[in-house]
This record gives sequence, C-alpha cells and structure tokens, in this order.
Amino acid sequence: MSKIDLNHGTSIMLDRASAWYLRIHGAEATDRDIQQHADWLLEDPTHLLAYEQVAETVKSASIFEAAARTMFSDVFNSESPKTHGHKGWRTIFSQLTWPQYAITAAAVAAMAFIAILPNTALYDNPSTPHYFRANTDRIETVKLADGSRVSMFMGSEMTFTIKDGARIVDLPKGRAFFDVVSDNSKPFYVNFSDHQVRVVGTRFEVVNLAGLERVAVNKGLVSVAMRASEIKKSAPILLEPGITVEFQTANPDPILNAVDPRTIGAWKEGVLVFKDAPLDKVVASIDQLFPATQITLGDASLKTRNFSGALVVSNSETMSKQLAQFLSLNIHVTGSSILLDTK
Amino acid sequence: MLDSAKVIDLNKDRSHTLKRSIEDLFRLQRPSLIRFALSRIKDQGEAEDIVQEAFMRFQKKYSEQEVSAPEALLVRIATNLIIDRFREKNARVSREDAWAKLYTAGADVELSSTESVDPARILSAKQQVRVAIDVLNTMPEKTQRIFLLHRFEGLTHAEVSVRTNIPQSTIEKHMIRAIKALAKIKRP
Repeated sequence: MSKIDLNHGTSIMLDRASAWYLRIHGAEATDRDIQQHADWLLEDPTHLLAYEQVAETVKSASIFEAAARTMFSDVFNSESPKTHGHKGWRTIFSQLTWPQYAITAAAVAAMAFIAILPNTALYDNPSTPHYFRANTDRIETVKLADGSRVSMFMGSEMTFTIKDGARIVDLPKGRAFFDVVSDNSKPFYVNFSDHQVRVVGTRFEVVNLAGLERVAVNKGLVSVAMRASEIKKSAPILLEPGITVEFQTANPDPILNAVDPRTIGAWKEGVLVFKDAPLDKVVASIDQLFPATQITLGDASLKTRNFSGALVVSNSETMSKQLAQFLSLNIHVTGSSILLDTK
Repeated sequence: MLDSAKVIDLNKDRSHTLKRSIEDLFRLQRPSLIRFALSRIKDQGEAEDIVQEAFMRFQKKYSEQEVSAPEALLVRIATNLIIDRFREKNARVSREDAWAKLYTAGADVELSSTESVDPARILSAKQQVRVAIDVLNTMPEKTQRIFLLHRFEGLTHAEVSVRTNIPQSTIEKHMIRAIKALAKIKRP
C-alpha cells in the first residue's frame, strides 16, 4: 500500500487529474493526448495516485445513481436536445426495406401514441383517477403523468388525477414520498385523512396509517390544511425542510417536530442506515415505519448503546431480528410486541 | 405491479469507459513507459522486455467492469515491474525512490487500479450513497446538473451544453469541481 502523502497540494493535484480524466475520456481525445497523459502519470507517483482516485470516483458514482435519479429527478426530466432523435430516426429508416419500414413505422406510431398521450388534454383530464397500489413486500416508485415521482411504501395505495388545472393525489392508506415536478400553473395537492397538503414543486413524505398521520418536508415548502369539505377549519400550517407535523386523534392540536431532513423518506432506498445511533433512536425509526407493532428495550442500558449499520426495510420483526443479530441480543416476539434484551 | 415505473438500466456504464482498445492504449503508452524504464534500468533491451511483460500482465488482469482507469493500471503495473527490477540492482537507492514507495508487490496477482486509493469499500454501499448525495446537495445547482447529465445520462460536454444552455467552455470547469468534491469524500 502506498505511503505517499497525497494530502499536500491535493486540491491542485485533483484539479489536474480531473482535467486529464475528462480529456482522455472525452469524445475528442487524440493519440497525442494519450501519450502526453502517460508522460504526466510517469512524472510523479502522486500524479498516478490522484488520477486513480479521480477515475475511481467517477466509476463508483454508479453506486449512487439510483438515489441521484430519485433525488434530482428534475434534472433528468428536463428536455433532451431536439437534434438527437431526428438524426437517429433518419439513420434507422434509411436502412430499412419496405416490410421492415411498415412494421417499424407502426411501432413508432404506437410508441408515439403512448409517449404523447400523457401530454394531451385528453390525458390531463382523465375521467377516472389513476390508481396505484404497492405490493406488500416491496417499495415501489412510480412516475406520474406530470413527471413527478412517488416512492410508495409497502402496501400503500393512492390515486392521481389532474382536474381543473390541479394535480391531485389521494392517499387513503400508507406512506409515500413525493418528488414533485415544479409547475406553477398546476398546484399539487395530496389528500389524506381529513387533511390536504399543497405544494408547487418540492420533496416531502405523507403518512396516513392507523395511529399515525404525518407530513414531513425534505426540500421546499408545503402547507398542510384541513380539507375544505371538513367542518373543522384552521389556518394552514407552513412546513420548511426538516419540520414534521403529526396529527393525533386524541390531541386536537397538531404536533410540530424538527428532524434531520436527510432522514425524511430515507426508507425509499429500501434500507435504513445508522451511524453511531443510540439504540432507542434506531428502534424509534423502525416503530415509526411500522406503527402497528412496538419494539421495546428490556435493559435500560441498551438505550444508549450505539449501532452502526444498515437494516433492510422489510417488517418490524425481521428488522428487529437483524438488529438483534448485529448486536448479539435476545429477541422475544409476542403478538405485536417485540422485546430486545441483553443475552 | 405498478404500471408507470420507468425502468433504468443502472448496470450500463455511460461515460467513464475509455474509448480505446487496450492494444491502442499499449501502443500509445509504450514509448513513455520505455523512457521511464530506461531512466532506471539503463538497458534498452531490458526496458523493452519489462514493458512488454507489463502489457501481458495487464491483458491478463484487465476487466472493464472492475478496472476504473486502465490507462493508470498499465502504468502502475509497468512501474511496479521496473521498480522490482531496479530494487534487485540497487536496494538502498530504491528504498529512497518515490516510485519505490508506491511499489505494490505482486503487481500481476492482486493489483487493481483502485488498490492504492482505498475507495469507500470499507463503508457500506448505503453509507456511500448517503454521503455522495449529501455532497451533490452542497454543489452549486449548475455543477450538480452538469455532473448528473454527463455521468448518468452519458451526454457529451457539447450535449450537456445544449441541454443546460451553459457554454461548453465552462462545462469542464463544473465537471472538475464536481469530481473533486466527490473525490474528497472522507474515508474512515
């Protein structure tokens, strides 16, 4: 393993290494570039180290591609250069014989119908809402007709309608994380229980489960109000990133809490990640996902015991078993109660 | 099953594959490697033999999926072999040589282009994702957008320029800024 200190002048070295990487991997890289690059690598061992670091950084970016596509969906949903498609289609059609041409044209027409329909007025005003239901054993991500993305927790259900210039989601059951495409002309509403969330473009989570009704904001601003049809009326609550509002049947007043915005909707990655987190916080995170069950810690000393690791989102019992296995704890399951205790 | 989900092939690499065959790479790097070998070994024939052997070992080990920088890997294998030979001739000098400090024993056995930089393999994949997303979130919007389109959509700098309306001349500066920020992620 290398003992060379790359820290000294790292910034400048990484600048150079990055510039070389982009040059060598660019569409216009020449033989001369490759030769000069080899000379640069051989000039000093730190060049080689910096270059390897840069190359590994770019390659390993694939690890977070899925998360990046979800988090920054607006970047990927922006329009493509118009020239691409024209050139490609010309090339394809010029190489086809008559029967192939006819079949390809029919396929293209069908694809165009599917692709264009969602953008038409016909699609914008569906007579019946689109219904989505996530399977009970997995988290599902859907793209709505307006381009917004929704991660639906296991077993969640929702409908989506575009009506009178508004985008309306009804979440009768479950938990969903919304990444809303900004469109000032079409406000985005999420109806759940007797509340309504109103946004333009932002990322937030809505939970509508027995015993837990909650809205949490990851980015942007949302307002939560009572639905117009309800008798009870109150001023809307404006939520900023990292603020959650919870509604409890027994308590008429909404409860506001501050949390780390990064933890909001963390489940949509299919895994909960903890770093030196006290065990009571870890347990609370699982309980929050599955409010129908409750995990308790037997020994008081366990509350402050730290846990670092990743738990696959599945169900309360399985996640508790994973936790028990990681920390060598005993686990007792009785109905909807789970007890974790020292051995 | 939900009917609106978009399927994305996340296994397809889009932007980091070197657009050269490994034979081309060797042909182009060979003169530089021989010059480097000659500066140490002082023997033309021996220098050529070492570089040839480096290429054979490189061919044997090369895997597009596993190697992030083939152009660096070939240099690393060659320099290791050269330092190996150099050590045999002059142990004391070689210990003081900067390249000798980078030397990795068994270049043809375990060496990968990532071995020396300790990528975040120690971290779990999910931890890496979280840290990387945090870094992306702290980038200026333009930089973030350019990196995502280039790396994940496989757009060239010219295409990114059209898509973002940002002059092509500044695309590279944003890319360098993004790569640097991600490369500086602290490893435990």
